[in-house]
Amino acid sequence: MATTERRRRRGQRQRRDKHKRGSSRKVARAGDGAAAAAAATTVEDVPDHLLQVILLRLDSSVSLLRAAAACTRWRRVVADAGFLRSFRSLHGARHVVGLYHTVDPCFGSPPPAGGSSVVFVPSSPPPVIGVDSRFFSLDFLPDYHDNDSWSWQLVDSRGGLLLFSKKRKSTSRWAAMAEARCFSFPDLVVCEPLTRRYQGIVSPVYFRRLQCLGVFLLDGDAADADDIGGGIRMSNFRVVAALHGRTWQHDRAVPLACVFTSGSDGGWRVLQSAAAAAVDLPERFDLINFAGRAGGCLYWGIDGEDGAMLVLDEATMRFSIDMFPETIRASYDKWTFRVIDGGGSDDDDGALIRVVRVMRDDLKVFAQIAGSGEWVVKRLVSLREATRGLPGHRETYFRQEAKIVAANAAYVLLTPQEKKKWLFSVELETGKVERRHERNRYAGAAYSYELPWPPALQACADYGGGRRRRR
Amino acid sequence: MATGSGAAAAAADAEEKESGSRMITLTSNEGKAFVVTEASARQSATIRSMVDDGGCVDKGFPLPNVDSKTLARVIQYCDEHGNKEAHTVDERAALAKFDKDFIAELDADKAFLYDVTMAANYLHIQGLFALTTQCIADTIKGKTPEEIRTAFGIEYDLTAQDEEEIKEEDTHA
Repeated sequence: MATTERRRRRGQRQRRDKHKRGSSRKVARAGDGAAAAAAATTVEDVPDHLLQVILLRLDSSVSLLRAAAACTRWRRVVADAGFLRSFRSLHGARHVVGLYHTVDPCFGSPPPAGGSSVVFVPSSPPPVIGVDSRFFSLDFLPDYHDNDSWSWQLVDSRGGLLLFSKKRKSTSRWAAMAEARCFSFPDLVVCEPLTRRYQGIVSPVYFRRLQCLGVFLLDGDAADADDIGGGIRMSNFRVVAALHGRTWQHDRAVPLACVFTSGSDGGWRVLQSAAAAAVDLPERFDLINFAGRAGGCLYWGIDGEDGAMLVLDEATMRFSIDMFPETIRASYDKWTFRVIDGGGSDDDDGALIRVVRVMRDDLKVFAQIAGSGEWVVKRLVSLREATRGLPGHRETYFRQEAKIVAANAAYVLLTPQEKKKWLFSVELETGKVERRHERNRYAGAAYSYELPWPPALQACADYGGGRRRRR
Repeated sequence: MATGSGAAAAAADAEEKESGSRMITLTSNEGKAFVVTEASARQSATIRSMVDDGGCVDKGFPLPNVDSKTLARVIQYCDEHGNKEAHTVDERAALAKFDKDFIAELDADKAFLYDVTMAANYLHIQGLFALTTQCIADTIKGKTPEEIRTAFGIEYDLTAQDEEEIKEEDTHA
């Protein structure tokens, strides 16, 4: 119904535009003599294909969205699929709108803002008009309660989708920590807050007793990705679970990758590659710590194995062991060692992967130079010096090593061991240290939420009339 | 006779080789004739292809889609870019300065800016077209929808449903 209505209105608009252009065109007044006396040309006289050229020259999707909100004609021009494709190829496909912040149980309950254990914070500086966190609310999810006893835990994000895993019922903080250490294969939920849709994924019975190294969202199979949607959406995604499989061999274990594919012929599939069997792990699950995701690979540090890293390549779904040089590693403790994405294409070295480390009272960022594979120090921040002068700072801080609470390509969130709730962040691009920042209120990982470009116009194309939210 | 015509042809050849010395007439939709150098006229891909295809250069080119005021301004651009060299740093800087002043003046008169943009499109004058479209795009940048409407004199014509869609977009913008 809504689609037909829209089409009808569009038709009217087109007819009106044509009429306007025909009558006011100066060409029609050839020989009029005094062009200046004729009605001045307006932007209405500029034909659609020229308006497209102009709009393609806008610098960002924010500018384009605002232009699309000016009038019906500009809206129609922007919503054109061909136009959007061109704009995307010129200005990039993705559009980060904000971060979903979580709170690590080791740091206590989240602040009451928003009420749930996951808080959405729009990108900063606030991108203009009426950014409303309500649209990113998670209250449509199953057994959602407005308190931190909610049974789902945010574990990953990709594009416009979020991945939640079922929390164990925990009564105390200690129990929560203990559970985090022996994490068996959980039930999962994948959801898209924008359209308020979700899909539950029950853990396969076979694997319920295996310990899980982590679950992650991946783009859907390329075959299904059309040029409007990009790589991931509710109808086209994958989830990979990395599992710790015991073997008959004494003391050793193997990693297993298990992939869930969306769609009617989807479901769980175990990838039994020869390479997986060739990689062996310590039997003790707690020695393997997830370190981060970078350059299309997932990394786990293995303690007590001479700096060995377990690597899962997202493209090939193969496990391998990588050795990091001694200068970078000491122990693969999650509080002092994280792997993050490279600085992006603007980085001269084109690094694909960086390592963030706390060494005594220094924060060090290492980058692996593409090509040579050499590691270099990209940034060194003396935490004791850099935090001096921040509100609430004490000289007694940083006598013990600081803890990394969260790290991503943009910033690192840290806290001194002396006072766990004195959170501060270091901007990686500039080295700037900040205490008063919205993101410093949540002591846990933050998951970026992107929308395939451009957001709601794309939603128009994607879901047609059916995109009205369920209330 | 034969030698005479041969000499004339040779003269014409020489004239043609000496690009820029040949003059071309462009006629606006009001019938006003503008005489420009060939180098200047060749800034327009439309005219260039007509000249190269051996179009009737002598009779001039009628431009039914361009009025005199617009044509005069377009020719001002073509003269600068067609007749001046842009080999050295200084020469390029001078051209850049010309472009800057040229577009600043146009920007002050939006109706005229649209006329020049459409003429540049019609005549396929790439540099000028890029200049004017970028100028219009720069006017849109950093403005709210309301400010955009004011800057472009656009009437507010959104429906309630458009409004609702926009509200949704705002949350992502």
